[in-house]
Amino acid sequence: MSQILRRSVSLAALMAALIPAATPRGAAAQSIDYGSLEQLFGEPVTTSATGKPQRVSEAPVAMEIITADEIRRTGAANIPDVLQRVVGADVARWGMASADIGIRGYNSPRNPRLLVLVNGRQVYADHHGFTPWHAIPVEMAEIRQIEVVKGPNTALFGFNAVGGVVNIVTFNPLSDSVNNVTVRTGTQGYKEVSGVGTIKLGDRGGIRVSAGGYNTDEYETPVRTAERAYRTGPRRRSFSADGLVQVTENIQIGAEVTKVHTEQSEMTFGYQLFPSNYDILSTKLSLAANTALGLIEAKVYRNQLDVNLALGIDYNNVVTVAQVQDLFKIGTDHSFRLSAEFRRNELDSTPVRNGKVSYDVYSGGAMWDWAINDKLSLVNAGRIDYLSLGREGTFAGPSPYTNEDYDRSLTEFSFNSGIVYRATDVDTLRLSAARGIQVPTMNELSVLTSNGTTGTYGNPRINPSIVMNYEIGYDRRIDQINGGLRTSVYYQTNSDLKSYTRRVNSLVSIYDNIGDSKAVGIEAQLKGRIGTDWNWKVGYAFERVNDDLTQQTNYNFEDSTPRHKVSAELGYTNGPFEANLYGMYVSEVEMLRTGSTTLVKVPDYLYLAGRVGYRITENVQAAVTGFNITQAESRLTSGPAEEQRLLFSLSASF
Amino acid sequence: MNKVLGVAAAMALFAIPPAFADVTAKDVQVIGRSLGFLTEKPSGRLTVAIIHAPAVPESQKEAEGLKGLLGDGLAAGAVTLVPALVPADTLAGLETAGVAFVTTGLGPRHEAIFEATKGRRMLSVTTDPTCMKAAKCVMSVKAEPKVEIIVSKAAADASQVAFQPAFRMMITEQ
Repeated sequence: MSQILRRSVSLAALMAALIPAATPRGAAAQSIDYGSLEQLFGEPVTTSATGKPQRVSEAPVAMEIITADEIRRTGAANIPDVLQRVVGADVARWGMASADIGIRGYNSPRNPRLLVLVNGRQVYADHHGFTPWHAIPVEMAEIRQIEVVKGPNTALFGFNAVGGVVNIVTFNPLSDSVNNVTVRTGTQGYKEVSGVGTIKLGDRGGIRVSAGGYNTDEYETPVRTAERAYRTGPRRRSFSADGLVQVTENIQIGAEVTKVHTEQSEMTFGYQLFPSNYDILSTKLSLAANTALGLIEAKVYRNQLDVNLALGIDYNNVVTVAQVQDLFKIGTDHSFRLSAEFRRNELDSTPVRNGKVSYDVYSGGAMWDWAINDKLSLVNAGRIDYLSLGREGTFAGPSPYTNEDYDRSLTEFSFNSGIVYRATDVDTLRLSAARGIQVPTMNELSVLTSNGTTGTYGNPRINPSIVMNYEIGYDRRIDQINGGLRTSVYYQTNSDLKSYTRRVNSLVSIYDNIGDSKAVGIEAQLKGRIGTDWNWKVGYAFERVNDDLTQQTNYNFEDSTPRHKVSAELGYTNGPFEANLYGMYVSEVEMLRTGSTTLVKVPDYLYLAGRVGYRITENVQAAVTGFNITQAESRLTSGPAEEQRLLFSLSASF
Repeated sequence: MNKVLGVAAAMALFAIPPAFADVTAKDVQVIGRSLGFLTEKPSGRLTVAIIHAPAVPESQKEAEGLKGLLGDGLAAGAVTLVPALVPADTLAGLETAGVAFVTTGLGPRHEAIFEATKGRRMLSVTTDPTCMKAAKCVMSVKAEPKVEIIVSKAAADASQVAFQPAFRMMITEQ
């Protein structure tokens, strides 16, 4: 951690050096000032729909924004417990720390279909193509909002935004002042300390620092015999420093460093629990400038990931990304976003070193939002990604490929198009189509495991998965309930899904494309307020998946995707008291387990979570939160049954 | 008699618009917070010139209502808005203001008011959309039931008033 502290001191010194000595004036340039825009328009603001700032009620895509207040009211100590309440989301919790989240079905261990970012920096791990939720270096108290975009949005975010996108937006160290200490304890021996502090450097600079960690026991519900030794009590240690400086009236510069270490057992993509230790270091520099050419934003970041699994498997994955975009408006009706991106991705071979697979991606994109008239707008976004793959070094074991087989390139086009028709002041109709790209993971491309004799290998010839989504949405603001209705109907096709399956010979099996799948779904959410004390929300999601998988595989989406999900949430506030109750019914599924051939029946279930909070003083709040509160344990996945969890928290803001 | 005729003439001059609503506290917050998205962002105490015509009831009522809302100074965003009543016929006192609020019902005076505000590179705001639609006010606002901000680009350009790109993408420009 001393290395991180040194980096943080350097960050503070850099920030201080950048602050101009001139007399402070009101800062005019903002990248996107979420707080001020939300206060002005009276609702959350997002850039995750098209790249331009929009009110969530006007976004041309199906999306939800979960605000800081809503996050706090859930009582959740982690992001999966928050996202469980999103209509259309499936959260598979495999243990106290391990969870996978799918948006619009197709959830699986190490789900590669959901791109997750923190302030636009991906926390999705490219080595296996999934998001280790436990290793996101963010404390709950520093999250301004979580933006959930449903359906493909590769044209804006790049590869792997196919099932959806989750963008976690933190408070702005320049314009927000967040100071909080929270301690939590609970069942399963859970103990957590979390702190967030904001240091203001005059009125032109600020640094938000956060740190936190937990120790807990793992569930004690039964697992397979071979997995018992792998079960370990999860631990997490996380640190983040995020600074922003208003260099001139029109220029902001930001710098961020994060470091996280976690230990836990995770459900791997073969539906087997494995122990894993994560060490992830990220660094980021950003620039935002209001210019005559528009709002120009640039950022460069690097994620260095070191994951140790059992059997000596040790992934070293380095991702370096440089992005630039320009947001501008021509005339009164046409908004544009032009973007370019470079990405380098490197993975060392494991468990035997001396091999490295890497690829470079060059991308260009454009978005055009045309306000045709007061009622009608048209949004088109397109992006081209050119990927150049390569490999160097030796192979461990009997590989079916040579380094020359990795000299390959891919060019992929993605788009998002939508028409928004505001039929009346309260009725909005959305029509959209999108093409998303799920690029092969580094693992699928490169060596996975080998003991020198037998092995499972990546496949340089594997193709990306293509996801097409066609959607109709209808939204209605209903003043009588102080809320509204948001609905979507969609049809989705998935081509060239990928998995490891094909046995080349008795010693070698490889990853390959395994076939197609399609889905149709409905999402509906109605929410409102009663007076100032009560708020409520009900949701329903239907999804039917039809797989056409050509080979034996460790995926089975049509049986594992719930057909029906019904949810309801009720919140109450009165003086110092707060209460929140959430319930969810999920219909029966069958999920694979260990070895990709065993289907485990997961009966339909009712899941309840609730929180009661009491504000002891103006700044101190105590709360008790329960998850799965009606049963000691429940079978919610094919993995270990989920235990009831209780959390007691004490939180002080100052 | 002359007084009566004068009032009658003024009444004829300031025609009653088809839609009229009092400015609300929420409207004022929207105006104040919008100022934070000007490229030349004001801060601190900012005088609002409430341009009104005493002879036009809705104008006078809105002016008094806004003056009452602002009181000795109302914080909205990064500014504290301070009221100053400015008569539409003379525009006396406009020169000391940082922003102009054009009350409802001043249609025949829009041209003269706009000449004065644009000459001072001053943002002119209204809750009367006819002024903005005629490109004689820069911005019209409505806070209820949903915040609506409409900017006349022609009026903004003529007044040399510019908003930040992010803000421009979230509002309607005409």
